[in-house]
Amino acid sequence: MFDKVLLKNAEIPNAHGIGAYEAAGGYRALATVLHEYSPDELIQLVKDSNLRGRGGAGFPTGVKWGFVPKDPALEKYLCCNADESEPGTFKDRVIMEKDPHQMIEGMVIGAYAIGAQKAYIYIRGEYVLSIERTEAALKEAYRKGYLGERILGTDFNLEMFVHCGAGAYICGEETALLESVEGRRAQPKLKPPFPVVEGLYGCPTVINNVETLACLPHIVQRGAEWFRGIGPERSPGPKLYCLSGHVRKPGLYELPMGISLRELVEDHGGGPRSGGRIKAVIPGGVSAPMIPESGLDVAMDFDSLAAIDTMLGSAGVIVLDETACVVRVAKRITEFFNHESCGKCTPCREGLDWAVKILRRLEDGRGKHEDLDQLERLCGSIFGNSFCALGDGAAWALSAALKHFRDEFVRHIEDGRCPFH
Amino acid sequence: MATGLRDKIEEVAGRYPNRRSAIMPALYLAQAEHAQLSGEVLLEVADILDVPEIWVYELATFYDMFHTEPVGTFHIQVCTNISCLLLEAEGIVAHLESRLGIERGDTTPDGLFTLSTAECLGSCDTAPVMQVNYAFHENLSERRIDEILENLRGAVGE
Amino acid sequence: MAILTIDGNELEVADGTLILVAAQDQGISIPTFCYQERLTPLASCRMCLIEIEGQKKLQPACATPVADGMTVRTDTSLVAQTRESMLEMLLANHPLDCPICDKAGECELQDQVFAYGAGESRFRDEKRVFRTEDVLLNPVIVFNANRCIQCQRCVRICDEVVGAVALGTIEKGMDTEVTGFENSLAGCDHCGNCIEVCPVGALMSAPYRYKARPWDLTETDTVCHYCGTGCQLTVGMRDGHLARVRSKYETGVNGETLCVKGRFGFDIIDSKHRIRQPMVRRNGNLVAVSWEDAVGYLVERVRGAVEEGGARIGGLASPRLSNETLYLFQKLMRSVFRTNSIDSSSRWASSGPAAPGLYEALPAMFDGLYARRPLQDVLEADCILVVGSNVTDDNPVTDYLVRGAVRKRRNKLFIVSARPSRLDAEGAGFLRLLPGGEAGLFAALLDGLVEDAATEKSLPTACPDGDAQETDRTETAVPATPAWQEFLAGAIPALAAARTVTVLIGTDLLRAQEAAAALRWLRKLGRVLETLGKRVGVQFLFDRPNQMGAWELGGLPNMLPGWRPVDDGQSRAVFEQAWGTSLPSEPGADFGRMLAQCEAGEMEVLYVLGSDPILSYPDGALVESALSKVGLLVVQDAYLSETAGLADVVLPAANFVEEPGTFTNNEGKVQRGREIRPPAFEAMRNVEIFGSIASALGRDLGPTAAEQVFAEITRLVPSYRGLGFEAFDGAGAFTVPTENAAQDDPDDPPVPTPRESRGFALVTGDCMFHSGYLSRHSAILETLSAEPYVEMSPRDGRQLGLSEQASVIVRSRHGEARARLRFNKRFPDGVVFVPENFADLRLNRLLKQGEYPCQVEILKA
Repeated sequence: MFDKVLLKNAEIPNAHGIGAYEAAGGYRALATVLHEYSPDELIQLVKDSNLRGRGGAGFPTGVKWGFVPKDPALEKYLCCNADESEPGTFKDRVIMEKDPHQMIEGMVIGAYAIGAQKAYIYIRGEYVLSIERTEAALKEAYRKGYLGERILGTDFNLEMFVHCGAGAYICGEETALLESVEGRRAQPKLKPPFPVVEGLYGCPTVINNVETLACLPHIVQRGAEWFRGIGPERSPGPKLYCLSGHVRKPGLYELPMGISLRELVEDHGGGPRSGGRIKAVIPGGVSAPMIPESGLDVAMDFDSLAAIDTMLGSAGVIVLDETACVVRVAKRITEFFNHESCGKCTPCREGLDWAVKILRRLEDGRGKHEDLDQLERLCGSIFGNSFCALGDGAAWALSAALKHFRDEFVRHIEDGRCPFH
Repeated sequence: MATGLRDKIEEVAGRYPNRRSAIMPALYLAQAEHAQLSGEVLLEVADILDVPEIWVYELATFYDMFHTEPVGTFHIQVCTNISCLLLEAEGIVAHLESRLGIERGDTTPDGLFTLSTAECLGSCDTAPVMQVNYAFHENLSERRIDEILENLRGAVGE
Repeated sequence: MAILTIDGNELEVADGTLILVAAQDQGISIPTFCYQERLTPLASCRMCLIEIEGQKKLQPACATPVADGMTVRTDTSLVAQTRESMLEMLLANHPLDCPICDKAGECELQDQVFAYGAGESRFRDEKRVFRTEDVLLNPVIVFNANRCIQCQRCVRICDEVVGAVALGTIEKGMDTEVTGFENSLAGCDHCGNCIEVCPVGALMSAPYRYKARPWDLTETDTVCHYCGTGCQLTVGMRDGHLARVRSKYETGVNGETLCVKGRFGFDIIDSKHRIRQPMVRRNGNLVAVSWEDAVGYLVERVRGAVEEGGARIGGLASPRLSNETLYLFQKLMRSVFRTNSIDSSSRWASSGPAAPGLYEALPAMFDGLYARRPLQDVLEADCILVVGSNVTDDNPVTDYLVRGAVRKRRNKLFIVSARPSRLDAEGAGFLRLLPGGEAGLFAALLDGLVEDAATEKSLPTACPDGDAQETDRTETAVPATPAWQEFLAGAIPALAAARTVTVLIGTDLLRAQEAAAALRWLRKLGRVLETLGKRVGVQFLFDRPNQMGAWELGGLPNMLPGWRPVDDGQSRAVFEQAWGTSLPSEPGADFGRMLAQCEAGEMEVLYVLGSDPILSYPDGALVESALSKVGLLVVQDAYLSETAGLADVVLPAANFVEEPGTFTNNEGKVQRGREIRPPAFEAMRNVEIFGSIASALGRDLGPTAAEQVFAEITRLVPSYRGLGFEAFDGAGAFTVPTENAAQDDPDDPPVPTPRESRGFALVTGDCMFHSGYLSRHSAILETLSAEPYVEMSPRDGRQLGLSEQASVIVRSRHGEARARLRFNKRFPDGVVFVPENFADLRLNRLLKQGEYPCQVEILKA
């Protein structure tokens, strides 16, 4: 049985209050950092831990921090990406609702590492309880001297604010998130310059995911080696897996990085809901291409999933059993991306809309064989040519459905109706 | 417009190095006060923040949670994304449509309910889910829906 | 420098060059919609995706800089296929209504589909339709959202270049739409730059709507006749009438931009208010006569005044006229009418009896200190000081260029003006200063610099001739207001730190009686900055297209062409020899003194050329009375002016597009205005009218063809030497600085003490939609801005118990005017602005020379 790390407080009543958090050892890591570590030493510690970003891209956190210019004259920002909107994902929400101080402590540690004096937590607007609890936790942290001026008696100052999203999936893309904080339409920006060099208000900015930041107090307290020892060495650590869909025991599971998808779905999740058979699993939110049942033995870590043309993403695992219509699922996923496309670049804006129109016809049984070729062509035109990962992800996910389940699409065309509905 | 709104907006504006950043929080505050972000409200926000009107208009229309059109007293948003879809969210929407006598996207003539479909609400393990004015209702069934609607109507009746 | 290969060609280009630009220079064209040189890169249309060896994905050429050793391919099948795909996607929802689209024939989407498209579409679903009727966003901009391809050029130019931030983008994804607040652009600048940059027929010119196909037009490149920025534009005519004005990509000082006056005010050429035939006053009424009769009548009346020595003749020319017209006019006045009483503006401060006047201080501004260089270069300076101008209204395109320069370079911009402008927000500091206070400002800056330099120990050694002694500690009466202190605390260190300094001087400054002192202090400041080792450049921000040419070519009572003093024998000898006649040696009267002469009944002939002093002279009572006492009032103009209504002889002149000529813009650049059609009705070219008057007097004015007049100018005026009339096309040619008779002031000029002010200070000037009294003849500009207004701060308004749009009376000691109130929350307290262009307002009846800014009260009407 794996000892919970990130969720260890979650079952304690009122864990979201600072009293419970402190009683469980909270903010001791911060004290250690401020009194015993230089920022460089802290960055090295996180590098040594091999912690990789939990937002989806899996970039090594310590390395990202290391890119921030050291010039003390430059203002720097830390942003917490709490715009959790990837369908199938609800891990950050649980952290913010149940244990917001864990995230806040992680942020203060991160801000100290990069020399930021201002930090924003970008929380998706629909997460009203997360917003409420985080705001309350910030007040507590200020009161206790974990935020504000001269934190814990040191020279380190940090202001921290919540910025509420307002219902735009694209804000999860880091440059779009920064645009949103700056009060603009959230459209991704050109990189380079990367945010670590020129981010919020033109200043060096680090954007880290909630879960990533929540790992930091534990790394400080238990050491890089401990962290590296959990799961695969190149992408280690405790991991929150969000299990949903056609599964008997949906929920949030904290398990080591790298457990097999089959173990997660069948042992922890109790297998498919109605005792039927699994058709496919989406392993990392709907941007992650689906895996047919035969691929379920894959290890849930960044590299193993990338090797089979999908991704860990947000670890939002959605199970489809044999009653699921892949055409409908593919259509709905594409509709989602089309709805959330910011409209900036041609392939994502125009291409996804076109794909949705075709998929709706296919689902209704009004499709033609050449529509499948056209969908594939569209995926090819969108993938790799979009401005940001949204379009790419949409095309990638759709391609996988077409690749693994082309026969289902063909049946819709040949039957002139959906065989499932 | 109440001076209260101006003060509240000034307070949030202090969190950012420039006033443009405060447009989103200001729109939330204005929406809480006026329910709907009419052109007049948007102009007021622009005036308070001293930013070009178009910036306010851009954000009010870009983000789904800002309403430039009127919404009902109870805004029901049903998640129809994959996890909920797999657990028959479409049936939930259809049930709501028949109980409310409106189609998705519409508001009941008495202005009480607006029914929308929503993208993933981040509560996939308790699918199907919906929000009523951002309060979550989970593990929905037709019976649960009927109870919820009854409670909401009752709340107004009092 | 980086060495790279593009499609197998090796080339060496500067680091940071974009692949798109490097390729273009090689003649390899990479298609794009969203890229434009002066806009921030977006890389969103994805048309310019190219292959770079070693990169997994195609890269946008418009946003990727070259790197040493890079291998770029734009000619692969993958690139071609990607272009096809992007175009197919863009066309999927495009309405393809080219047969009824204004843009057809010059549409970038058409052109790119033609060049790179697949030739067929596989799209077989329903197209997205925003709406079936086009939206009139304002009277000049009409919008069809269905055709928009989301390149965002319009939004970026409105924000980044124009600074209006009127256009924006609403909704997202496929619903994304470019528009103004609540689908209206009623409050925008109406400059139409969004139309110009639109690659498709989404944003269109309403006046040009359905007027012509591009191939029906006869297009001529010429220069704008509204202000001194001197924008290049292209006039499209159909059947002899104006169809539209456009500007060309990266052409002229303006690049592709124009302001509302330039783009939409050219309908003036077809104005109904033309003077159609010569007229003379008979029995109190103006009656049409033949040219022969008109000239005969004029000459008969003039002859006596000429014979008695010309002292009772004066001439006023408009600074909107060409160099050739202005030069020949002063030649006519001096050599034939034998008078030096020549002026080329009626709006500036007239010289008082106590102090040397504005015109005596002018020559010193036009020697080496004047930056006869492209404005774009001048704006590269480390520090830019703008004094006495609302650039946004006076010279809108200059405003765009300043904004671009400051945003790109983050150089320090400081603005000193009576009223707020949009540029304030771009600057490092601004100061609200009423006209007349500029001398004090320059003195204070100089003081601060000297002090700063003294602490740095650089000035005393660097300063020749013990100048340091003299400039040290001037007694300046700097108001100790926080605003002044804050401004100086920012500006002085910025000036001290700058290696290059640019000073732009607006026309607000020239209206106050302290103008001469201000210019003398500016000269001194410039000299000290130079002594400190800085490169200094001054340019005027004239709101008229040829004030600089008018002055340089002798449109002054005290100066012959080329800044040669009238009272200097050697100077006169140059022209006496060239013109074959002796010239009067006494400086003449400026226009103010001419009016005094009229008023005294001592003006026999007053020749008004293209000017409308009845409206523009800042002393309505005097000008009205004086002009009624002139022996013979001659008005030569293309349009019916108020002054023409009083004239004894009215001569119809060609308008701007009906005669060739050159114009010297604020950069000191000479550009050609082209003859687009022959003079309408019975109008004659200005220069030909002068020739015929001279001949009727039995004198030969020399050649009058524009080309020949220009040749004469280049022979006799040193700064124009070597320029050829035909030699400069769109780019124009720069005049060169020459030594002139100007002397450095041996002593500190006086610092005028600010006048006591009670009530409100009234300032006037240009509004964005008008240019003096000329633009009222443009039907479009009149539609856009028909009503006069009084601008003030809402605080002042509230204090007076007045609300926005209230009808108010502005009353001075001399008169009153009525207009609607307009609030501007950036407006300083205690100041009101009334634009000068509304003829019916007769604003000058409130004004009196020497009393500017004018003290007024504001009353509820």
